[in-house]
Amino acid sequence: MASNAPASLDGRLPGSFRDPAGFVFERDGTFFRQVNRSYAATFDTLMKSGLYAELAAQGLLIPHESADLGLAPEAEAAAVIRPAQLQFVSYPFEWSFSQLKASAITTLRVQRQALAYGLSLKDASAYNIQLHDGQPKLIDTLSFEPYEPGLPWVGYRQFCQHFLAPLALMACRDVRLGRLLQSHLDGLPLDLAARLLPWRTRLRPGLLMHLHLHSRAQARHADSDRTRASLKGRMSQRRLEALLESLESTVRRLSWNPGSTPWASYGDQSSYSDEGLADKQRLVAEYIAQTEVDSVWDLGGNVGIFSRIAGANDVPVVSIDSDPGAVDLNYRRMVDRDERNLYPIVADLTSPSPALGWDNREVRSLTARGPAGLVMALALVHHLAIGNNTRFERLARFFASLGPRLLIEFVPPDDPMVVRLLAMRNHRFPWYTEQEFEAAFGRCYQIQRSDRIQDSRRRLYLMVRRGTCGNGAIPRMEQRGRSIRDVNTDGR
Amino acid sequence: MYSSPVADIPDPASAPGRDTDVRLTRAPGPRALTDSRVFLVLGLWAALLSATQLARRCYIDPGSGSFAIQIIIAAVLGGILTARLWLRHVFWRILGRGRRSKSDDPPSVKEADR
Repeated sequence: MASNAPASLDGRLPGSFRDPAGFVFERDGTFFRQVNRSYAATFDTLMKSGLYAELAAQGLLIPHESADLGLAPEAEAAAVIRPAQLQFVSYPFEWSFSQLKASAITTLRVQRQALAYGLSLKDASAYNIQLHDGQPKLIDTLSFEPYEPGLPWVGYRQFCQHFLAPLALMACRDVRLGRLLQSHLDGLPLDLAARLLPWRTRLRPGLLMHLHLHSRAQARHADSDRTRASLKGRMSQRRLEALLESLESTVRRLSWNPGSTPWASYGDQSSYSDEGLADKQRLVAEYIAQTEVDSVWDLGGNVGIFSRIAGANDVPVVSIDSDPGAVDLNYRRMVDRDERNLYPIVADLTSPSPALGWDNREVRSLTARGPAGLVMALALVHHLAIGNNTRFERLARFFASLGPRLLIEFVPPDDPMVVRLLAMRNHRFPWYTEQEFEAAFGRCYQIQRSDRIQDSRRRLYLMVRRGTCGNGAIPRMEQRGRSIRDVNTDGR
Repeated sequence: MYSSPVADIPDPASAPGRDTDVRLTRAPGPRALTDSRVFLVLGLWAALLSATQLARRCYIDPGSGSFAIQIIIAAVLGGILTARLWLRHVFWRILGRGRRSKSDDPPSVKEADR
């Protein structure tokens, strides 16, 4: 788990409060899970039935080891476990289509295995799945309950809201609709999904049953006074297995072609000559080797060409891009090559994922999930500076807030890509020069190394943050009531 | 039975010393008054009804519908599976037992929908 998660005084994670079975807490940078006495019998069944061993062996459940009971923050603890520590935590609204689909299939496979051992998942939250060792895994070891024959699956609605509805919208309407998960933390309301989906999705039996009819049933039975217990005996295990099979086949049939987004093919249409690209790759590898960092965030990582160079020594690399197509291609390559240290996520750096949920502390903001040992910003600065009207000083502070080291590429104003960016703008950016860039970043960082890329006018820099930078100090311009964009749009 | 409270309201037009133009612009006539009262009552009724519905909805677990549809879908899928197994069973019976290995034995229909 990310080592910098904010915890309460007794070490409990603010987002881990709903489950009566236990919670996650932190001790000296290591994350543990307390198992409450009320859950002890079920936990025992999980461990002794062979289900845990089976799921862990298949890479479906995060492995754990027993820990000292004395570490528990509460006297109610029956056991304390130390799960394998996650390198980076990401959230469903940041996942690409393929990652969300793989996570959905993981959830269903866990549930089907659990049924075979007399247990069942008591929820199907997408937040219980995290990428670990290159594979989506269930991280909530306390998500199981004894299966009661004859009862329907309690996680069905949540599965449809967290996985099936967003996947269907992404595949059948627009992949960007996956971001709706950011405003609906308990999954997409099915009536909303049904309304947004094209009519033709009613012709697909899986989507018709699990989304459209499901949504109608929710409305029709809205004021039903039935209890779950009253439904006992209405659903045999065989029928439940048929339902799970149907859900899995519906999910598997959803597909999306990532090549349709603007940046997904950008990696192949590089702005460099062959020599230039080879030199840039060589320089990045040299810089990385020089830094000896324990984690890298590749901002604007696209399909992950340079993320893979950064992660060559098994260093965890978070590859961030705003284009869902590029991130999806990155994820697919990661799966194909069995890469275990890459974390491709969809995030817009001009508006990074915010803190969300109860008390704004359940889901952490993207910037709070750092620091990164090294921040990489290759071929990115012109997009943020010109495309988002953000001055170098502010960019330097932003990068410095993410981590102590920066590997950055400056794209000069006469570069064809910058010329293209400026072509449709009616104001100028006289401050967008290499000298201004070096001066502004020099105030925040100490420049350790700089090299011109062969056969190109672009330049790479390796920088180390100065002590005072990245602390969020308010620039004087804004103190006088002017916004960041006002300052830039008039070019002054 | 609902009785209109409008009946108790004196007609402003019959009040002594009132100018007609002033009445039209400043005071509502009996028809206008009736309409506004009716709208007020209807509005209050609608607001009360929607508030009641809203209050009910606040306590509704949307899981009720999910359980119901889940049971129906599972029954349909289970039925399809059972029918498929039954057809396969019939198929093998017609072909004759000698032409298949023991591992091909389909489970009984009853067992399949257990």
